[in-house]
Amino acid sequence: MSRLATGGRVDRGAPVRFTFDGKAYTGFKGDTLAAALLANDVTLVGRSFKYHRPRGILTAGPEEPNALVELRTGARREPNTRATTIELYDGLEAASQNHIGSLKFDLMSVNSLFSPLFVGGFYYKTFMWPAALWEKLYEPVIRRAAGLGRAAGVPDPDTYDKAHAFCDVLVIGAGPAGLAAAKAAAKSGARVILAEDDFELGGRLLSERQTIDGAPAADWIRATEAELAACGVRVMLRTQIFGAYDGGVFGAVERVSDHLAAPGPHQPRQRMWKIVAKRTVLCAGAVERQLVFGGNDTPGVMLAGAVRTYLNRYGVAPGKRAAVFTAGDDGWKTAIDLAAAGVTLVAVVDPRTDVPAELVAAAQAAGARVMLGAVVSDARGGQALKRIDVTRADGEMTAFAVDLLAVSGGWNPQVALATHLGGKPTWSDEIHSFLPGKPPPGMSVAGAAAGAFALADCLAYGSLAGTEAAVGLGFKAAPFSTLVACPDTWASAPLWKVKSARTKAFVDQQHDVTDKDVILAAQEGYKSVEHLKRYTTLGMATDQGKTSNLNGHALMAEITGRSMTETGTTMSRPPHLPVAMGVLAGSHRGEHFRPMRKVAGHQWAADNGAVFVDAGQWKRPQWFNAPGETDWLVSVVREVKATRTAVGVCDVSTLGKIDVQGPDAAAFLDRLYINGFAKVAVGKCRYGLMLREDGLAYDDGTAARLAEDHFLVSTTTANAARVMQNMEYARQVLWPELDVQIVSVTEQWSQYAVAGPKSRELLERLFGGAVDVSDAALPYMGVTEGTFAGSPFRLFRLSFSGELAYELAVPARFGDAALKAIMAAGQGLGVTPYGTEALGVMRIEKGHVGGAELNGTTTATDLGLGRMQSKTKDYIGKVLSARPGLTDPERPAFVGFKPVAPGVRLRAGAHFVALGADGVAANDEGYMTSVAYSPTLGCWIGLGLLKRGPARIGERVRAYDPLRGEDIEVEVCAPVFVDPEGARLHG
Amino acid sequence: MAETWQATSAFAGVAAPAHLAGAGLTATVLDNLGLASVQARKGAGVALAAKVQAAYGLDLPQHPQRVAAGEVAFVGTGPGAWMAVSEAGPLGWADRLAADLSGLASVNDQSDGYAALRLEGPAVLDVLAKGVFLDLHDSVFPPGSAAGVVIAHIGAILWRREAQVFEVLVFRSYAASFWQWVEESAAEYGLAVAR
Repeated sequence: MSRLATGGRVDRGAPVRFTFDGKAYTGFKGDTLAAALLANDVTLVGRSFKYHRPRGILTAGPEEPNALVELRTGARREPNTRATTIELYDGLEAASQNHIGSLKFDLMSVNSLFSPLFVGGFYYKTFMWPAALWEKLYEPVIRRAAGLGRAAGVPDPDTYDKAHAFCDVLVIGAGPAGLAAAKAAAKSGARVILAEDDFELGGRLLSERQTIDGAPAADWIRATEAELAACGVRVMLRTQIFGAYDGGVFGAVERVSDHLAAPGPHQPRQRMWKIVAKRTVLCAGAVERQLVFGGNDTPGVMLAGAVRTYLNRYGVAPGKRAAVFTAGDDGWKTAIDLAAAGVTLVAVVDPRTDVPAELVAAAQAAGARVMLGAVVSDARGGQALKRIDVTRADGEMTAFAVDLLAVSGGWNPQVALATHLGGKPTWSDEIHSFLPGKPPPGMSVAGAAAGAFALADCLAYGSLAGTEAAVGLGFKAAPFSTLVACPDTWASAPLWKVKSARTKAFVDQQHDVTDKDVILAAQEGYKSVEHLKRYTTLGMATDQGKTSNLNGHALMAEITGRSMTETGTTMSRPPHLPVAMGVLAGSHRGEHFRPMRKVAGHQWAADNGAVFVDAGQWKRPQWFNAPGETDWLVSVVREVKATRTAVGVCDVSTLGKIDVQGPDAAAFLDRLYINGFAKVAVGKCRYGLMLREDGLAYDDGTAARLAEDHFLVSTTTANAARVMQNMEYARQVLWPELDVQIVSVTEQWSQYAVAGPKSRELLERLFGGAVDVSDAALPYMGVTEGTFAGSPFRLFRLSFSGELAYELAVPARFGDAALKAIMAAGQGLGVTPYGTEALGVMRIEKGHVGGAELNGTTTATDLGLGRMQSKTKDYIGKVLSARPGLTDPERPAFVGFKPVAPGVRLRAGAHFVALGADGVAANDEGYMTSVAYSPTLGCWIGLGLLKRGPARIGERVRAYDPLRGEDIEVEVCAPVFVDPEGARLHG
Repeated sequence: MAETWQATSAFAGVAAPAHLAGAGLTATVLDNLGLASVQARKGAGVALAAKVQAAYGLDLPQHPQRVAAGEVAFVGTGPGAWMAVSEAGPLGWADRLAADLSGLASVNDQSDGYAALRLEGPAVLDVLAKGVFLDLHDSVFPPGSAAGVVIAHIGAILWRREAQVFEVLVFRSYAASFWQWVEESAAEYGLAVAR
């Protein structure tokens, strides 16, 4: 066991049992999985992405490139989770990933022997030929070999939630700077949200043996936490801000239940937050850089700051004989902390020669050999570190036997959230890293994220930034006292690569990118850091190169002889850290993917065999399965026949209904429709067609005049919202001088078409004489209003089916009752409910245009409605409908089609070519838009657009469908197949 | 004369699932709310406000606000547009308005066009935060405030009556989908249903 006898913030009275690769271990409450594994001497945790090299734990945070595991089992199995961020819970099950066979004897590690094949760009260079093998062989093999974890493969049993939060000041990160900023802003009176990715407040303070005002930092954290609570600060732990967006909007994921075996009752696993902040203080801290030397990926090589975290926060010694390799003063703190924890400190190696004397003295006092002006050229040991080779400037090499090497290349401020909106980070020669540059409006950066690493600076600048944020919003600054922090030093020297390395040196451990890959990319011309990233995959995947990018970019700068400012760094985009797809979807999955709209008669339809179809968000009955029916065509034929011979009932509530009122209502409609509405009498309806501005047909429907200044416009279901928008635009922007008001009343009314020769009889029975539905009282295209059975109603004499027909509208609360009453009144008359399929068949039989014809490419003339176009008034689309291209007599126009050989099925989409002509595009004369089996005619019929169609009635053409391999001779006919005189509508 | 048709609630079949019992959120189905859209005729704004004051004893709000007097409230829904709400019920509400405001506004009965819920309780702000992308803090959205919002992809009209009492309208056809959001969002706090 490597657990220290004392120390750390773990609860030693609360043991936690867990398994890794099936073996049982015990840790403590407060451990991460990584800490508990190290406490149990498990240092080999996974295999690398490409070469399947043995890998351990490099870091103690979300930047971890190596220690990725599959967490949980079964449906909750989650791949690529970072052992360094997983909170230990009782019964946790984790498994290593990316190996065939056991973790120790991974059969895929043979890849390492072929590593010359797998250099940067190998995807693009290898497996090019023969092409046929790509799908069958190369891709599956590569996917198998190069994957990391496995997804669960079954539906996620957990739920995910979404929520919004608003504040004056958002503080991102609860380290010393963030705590100070949140406190200062809140004390000034601002509404503050403090978001922290960790499960504890404190940030780096949790990992260090630092003091504030002479007391352990933990005391200050506790006191500050209490003050934040007293000021009403909303503290969001386990909440990772993953992206900055326009308008002060931030995306965040709260891991509500990830630290539990399973979410509690009604608890989501994670919650996605959209946080809107007037001001933001970014205190995201810094991430330590690794050093690039031979075997730097060997388990046992660990970032120096992470070593301190394991020692001081978790009370775990990650090794027994340790050395430190650091290019800055900060790494020396690890040497001192290791010695203080009782770990044998063998050596401290620093490429610099001018190191503060007190650091050297402290290391020597701990018994370490101090080697200045020296580097670790190679770490050796394969699955566990055994030896390091240290090379001095004069080339002399010394080997040390160690099982832990703490490395530090300096610290990189976490600037990503300051750059998501396009800000460019700026290079600093002082800290040898990038600073935030110009953050987006409303954001300031404080503490280590701004390159101020010293604790005293974090506290001071944090307080200042929090105060400034509040003052900027008009709050009065609350005074804050200066805190006295223990002194620390931060000088470092750049060391991008150890040149004396003999073995493979990794720049990006997660993607197995070596220093040689960077050189190769440069040689092949991929010198931009963005090209370098795509060519080598440097900085991709879950860690996004947080410990590695800078080394790679600096190497490229060195190779190309450019400065770091010239070289730049890759664009950082949201998400800053991995985000599960589930939390982005939230509860919108399965049938709840989008909201549903249900008519008042939905339940009745469902109870009576309706099969529903989506019409936008609406659910509409497509047809009704009568008992014993299994073939949709049988049902549809029955519904059409019943309507044409008796009476059918169709729910048409989903059609758009727009109420138009005002003294200028008629003038308004005159400008929207191609035909005139001013002369429509009160109590009458008229069919109208609207064009788009470009002169093409847009939407059709009827408008009923209810009063001199009152119309009710109907639209198609599909276009209801867009027509409403267009009318609002016309009313508010185009013709503000008109006194007209419009509002959607679609949802107010349930409306039922009652169609067929017995429809009048049905309504007479329904109304029992209370309403006169005779032709004299309510002729074709008439409308009347009244009250019946305690409900207002509107009754229209409209027909889409071509039969004697009515549409009855009632307020939606009576929709269910009215539908049942209609059906009851039709008992004995053969009343039959019909769905959208039968509706479609009857409209094709009647030659009415539908969505397939109103398809955005047709003119009124194309559709045979050209004569409706008024010559005496202006309307939307009039001018452009006269364009030469739209008035060309050769344009395909609307006609009907019948197969020459009876019984042959027609297909929508088939193209027309002249008999004897080749089926090639040059001979194309139009296409079939709609087809249906006509129960009335007993054959398939079609509607379509044929070049000069109306002049060619009686001709024969081919309906050629190369997609389905069909070629059918059809006769051109008038588009109205049933009752062409319209006799059934009247009388 | 046939018997009177039975009205059906937009939230027919909706009930508090037993497993969510608790008092975090209480949802009251408002089946009997009279709703009417009122849109000012061109240039009639001042006269309309005077008429509303005279007829209903309230100041017609010129902003997204709810102003109530007795059983009647006007909710500002847009420039020159209101939802007039009567707690006395839908019967005759729009007709009365149309008569009172004749020549000054266009009026439409919307009592059936919307499904209405009152949401209240100690968790109401936490529940609403899951759907409403609007700052509902007391300092920003005090009682009397109203807004057009989108909740779970469903358009809604929301107003605040008291600190922990909100009312919301959604198009009637969305009632089931909206209720599903209420149920899911309130689950962790406990949900009770009243009518």
